[in-house]
Amino acid sequence: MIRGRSALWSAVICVLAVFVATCGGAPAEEAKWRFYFGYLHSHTSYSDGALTPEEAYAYARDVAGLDFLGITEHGYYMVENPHHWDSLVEIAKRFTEPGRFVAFRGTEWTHGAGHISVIEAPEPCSRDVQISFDDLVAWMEGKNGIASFNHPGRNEQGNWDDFKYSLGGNRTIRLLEVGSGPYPRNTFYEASYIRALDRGWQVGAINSQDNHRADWGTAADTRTGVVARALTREDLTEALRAMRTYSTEDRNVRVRFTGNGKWMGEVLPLGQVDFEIDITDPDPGDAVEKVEVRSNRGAVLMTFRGSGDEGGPDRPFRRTFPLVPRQGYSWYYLRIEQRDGDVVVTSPIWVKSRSELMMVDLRFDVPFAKKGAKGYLRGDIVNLGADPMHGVIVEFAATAGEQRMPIGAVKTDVGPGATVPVSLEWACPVSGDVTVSATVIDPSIPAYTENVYSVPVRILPETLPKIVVDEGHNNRSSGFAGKFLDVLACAGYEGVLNQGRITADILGRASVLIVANPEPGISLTPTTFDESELAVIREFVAGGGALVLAGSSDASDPSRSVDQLNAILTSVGSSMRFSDDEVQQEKGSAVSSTVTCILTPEGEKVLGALSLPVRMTQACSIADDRFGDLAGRGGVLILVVGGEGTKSADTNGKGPCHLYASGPVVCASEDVGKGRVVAIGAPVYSVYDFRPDLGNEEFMLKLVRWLQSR
Amino acid sequence: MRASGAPCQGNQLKRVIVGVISVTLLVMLLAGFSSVSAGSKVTITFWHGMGSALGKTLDELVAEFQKQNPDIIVKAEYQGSYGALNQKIMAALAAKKPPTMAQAYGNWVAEYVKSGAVKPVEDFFAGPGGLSKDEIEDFWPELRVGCTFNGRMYTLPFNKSVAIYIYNLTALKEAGLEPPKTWEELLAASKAMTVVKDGKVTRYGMVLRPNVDYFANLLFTNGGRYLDPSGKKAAFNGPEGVEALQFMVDMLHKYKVAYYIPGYADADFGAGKTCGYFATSASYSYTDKAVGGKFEWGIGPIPYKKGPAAPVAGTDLVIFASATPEEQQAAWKFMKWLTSASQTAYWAINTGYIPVRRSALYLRQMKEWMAANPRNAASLNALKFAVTDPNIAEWQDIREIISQAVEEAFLAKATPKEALDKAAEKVNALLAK
Repeated sequence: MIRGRSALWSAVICVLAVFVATCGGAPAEEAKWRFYFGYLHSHTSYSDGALTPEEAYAYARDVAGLDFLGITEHGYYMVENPHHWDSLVEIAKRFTEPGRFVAFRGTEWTHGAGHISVIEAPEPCSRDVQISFDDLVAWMEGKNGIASFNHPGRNEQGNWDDFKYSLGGNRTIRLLEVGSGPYPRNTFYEASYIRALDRGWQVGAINSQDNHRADWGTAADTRTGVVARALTREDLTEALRAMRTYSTEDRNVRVRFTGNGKWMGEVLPLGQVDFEIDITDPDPGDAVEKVEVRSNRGAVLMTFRGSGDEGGPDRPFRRTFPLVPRQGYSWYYLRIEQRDGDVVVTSPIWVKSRSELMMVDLRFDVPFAKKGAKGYLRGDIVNLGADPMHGVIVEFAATAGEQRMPIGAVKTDVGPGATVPVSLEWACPVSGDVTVSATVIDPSIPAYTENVYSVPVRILPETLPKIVVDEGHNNRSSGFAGKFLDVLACAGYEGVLNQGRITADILGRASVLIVANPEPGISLTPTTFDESELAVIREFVAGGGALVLAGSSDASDPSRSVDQLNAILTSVGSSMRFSDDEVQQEKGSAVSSTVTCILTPEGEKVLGALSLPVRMTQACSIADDRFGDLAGRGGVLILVVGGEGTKSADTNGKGPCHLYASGPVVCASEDVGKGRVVAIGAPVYSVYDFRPDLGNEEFMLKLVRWLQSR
Repeated sequence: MRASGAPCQGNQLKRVIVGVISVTLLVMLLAGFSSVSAGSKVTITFWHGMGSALGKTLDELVAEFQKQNPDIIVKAEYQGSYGALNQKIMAALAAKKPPTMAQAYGNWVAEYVKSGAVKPVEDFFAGPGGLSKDEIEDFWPELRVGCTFNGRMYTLPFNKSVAIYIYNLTALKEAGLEPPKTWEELLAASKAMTVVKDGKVTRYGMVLRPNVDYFANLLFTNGGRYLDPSGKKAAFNGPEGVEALQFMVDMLHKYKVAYYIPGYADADFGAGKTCGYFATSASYSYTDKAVGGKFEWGIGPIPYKKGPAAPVAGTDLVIFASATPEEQQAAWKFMKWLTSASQTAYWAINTGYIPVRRSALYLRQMKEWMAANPRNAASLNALKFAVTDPNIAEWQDIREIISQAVEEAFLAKATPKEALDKAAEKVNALLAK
């Protein structure tokens, strides 16, 4: 009887055991991973924050419910006050309790190149002692610290030479703050993350609050999610070094991102990768809105949308997809958006060729390149490893449709951890969509040809209409025509800047020449047009070219003059002249030299209507060759006049000018021989003028098109 | 019962004992009200922001003063960056527990003076251990202006630096040029030193920072001023200011001989990315470290358009009114000693700040040092043309506003005139409050 009963109990126990084992949810393999939330960058009054480390750790642990917190005081405070450093180290040790809380401590190196935190090193670092990035990298060697790039704003700082790869640096700097700052929405640094990854840094994504007040963990819900085996210092540091992390604006979302079964933070060999995404969040409102898979140069490779409550507590968001990397060095991370707008960015999974060499920034350096236009194929070769590479060969080729065109090869040496630029001159023999590729041949594995990089390039047809903008005479708006040139290129024109004298060579093939008024004062170039230049311009117009002259006002300054432009007008035989005056507009009780202008009915007829008025600043009016009202002059088309409340005034008292009492003529056109001359009161094509709330861009395009259409 | 003599004797003794105890208590009580009793020391606290090497030099001076003045203990306490220092002083004043004295910028002092928290140093001039008229005038006049509020001198100048132009002498010599003195020469030199290879610029002649200090250097050398004579209206957006900002914008975009960075330029200069930049005389050691002997470099005054000008910045020493008279006296003694010729010369030689007394330039050690360091001597010669910032409480905010305008213009988000006009509007609103 007893025997039968114990057998029954054994069976029950076995069934229960199996049940429990399978009910743990996932297989035993997965059950060992746990998710912890906290972050690594904050301050107390030991530097420029609030309260003490004890209060900070206790607050983070008990009030904010963080699993870990890093206090990273500004380095120079710690170096000046070693007693505070020792105290911080001791407090962090005291507050670390396996299973309950981990207290990290370190210093923030606050250099002009960018801020970097180093935790777990035995000493503090400071921008006053480690005065350069190289100094810091050398100092970190052997110190067993873990470092992160802090709030790397691309528009705010040099970002360590735009994230130029550093072999030594990559060993210790394992993380990058994609989100930083005590705000609920703080994922500001994705662009920098992408740049760092492109240039070879292997860094994981984290988020920090960078607290300077007594609000560690409660300033916002932002956290760094860490996937580790247990809540101990050793397990968390292992996870941080392995980059099993993600930056999250949500306080408790659990993200698994694997490729071929390997976690985010790992490097896979080149070949197909089967990716898996698994997202859950304990809070019902935090379902997944969408997930983007991002890769090299920030390209979004695919987008998944969540439906219903996918990603919430009851229904995990799960997707799997295969990818075959096209480049020799690729990285992939997830950008997740929850229903409430919270953004999560994971560490990447890398897929790498067998070589330690990779290429970044492959490009053809001629924007809007035309068929046959000479330029350079460029890229940087990065040696991610510690072995010097002598005789690296980069083979360039281009593919257009079915046609494959080898271009040539360059050979170079790339030292350990170095970034070396390579370039090869090239003129594309075809137009259309072309793919340029570069195969990097590693000298240690010369038969390996799979380390390939490619970039699409659009080549424009050979002969595009050429527009020349003169910047060789200290012209007004020199240096600010870049946006105008880009707009021209987009519209299918070839915009060219002339930096020297105006010659027949420069104007050969040009259909439009734009010359703004030379400015007085300090200049590196001549401010006058000599006889031969006037002759070239004269012949250009006589041969059918279109000349656009842009003036400037006298601005109460007797040194200002429009004589040079009038000399050109006289020389080509135009009956228009620029007035030595200023077009002004009444704005309340004041008078402004920034005026709004409108197309006349004739202007609308030839150019087409504009959706917004044109703005001119410091413009002069256009008169006839006797400085009379241009409107009365036959053979001249008045295109644009000043808007309501405008007039012209002789502010420097010099003249000669025509004083328009209202609606001054600010743009007119005259056919001269086979050519056409347009006079505008001011250059309206500088980068200051091409704004979405102004009609200037539209006006210039329409003007150029009209001049081209003859 | 005893005879009446015995109780009398006991009472007498009791009275004596009580008397002695009372007197002792009284003395102790009195001693507690005064930090000085016969034979004891005065302790003063001095809050400053001098870290690293600067802090070391300051500590040396403090130690020397204490050796010479054994009755005064000076607790010099480093409070961190200037920002942290001001915050802490403000907090301490609010808590009514300020230090005896501190290092402070003039516009911070303007704030302290407004709330009556400062003991003017002028109060100590007349008494014993004060300053004679000659001694007062020995402080550079421009620096004294910065210490004066409502016609009274409240502080003494302490660590001042003058704006300078640092240039790569090797590159200049290669270009066959002399160090530029005017804007035009600066432009020509920057152009000559800019190197273009394969369509890419590998070295610029100049680097700029989008901040108020770079703007100020050009504003002043163009004869401009921050504010109009009344001090209530912005003048920096006048033609001189617009020209100054336009010149920088042109160097960046029109002439393409300069680029700009948000932080310190020493590293770029040392790395050969730029051949020139503006800095202050306090940054020699950083330049030296960055260059590391790779090339020859020199210092000159800021190139000018209308006339030479040398913007001077730095802090002064202030005594707080809440200190006891003894503490104030001790603080005055210390600050007078610290700013006297020998000490200011020592400070200048070891830190790169300028000596605040004219007579310091005639001391043997100063003359020898200037002869041995002709580069540093250049910035001292610029002192004749010193200009200082207005000493108003709003000055920090005004600096911020102008820096923003400079940045906008660099980014071509607005023309120099638009950016400065917008800034002037904001500044005028601030000043009108």
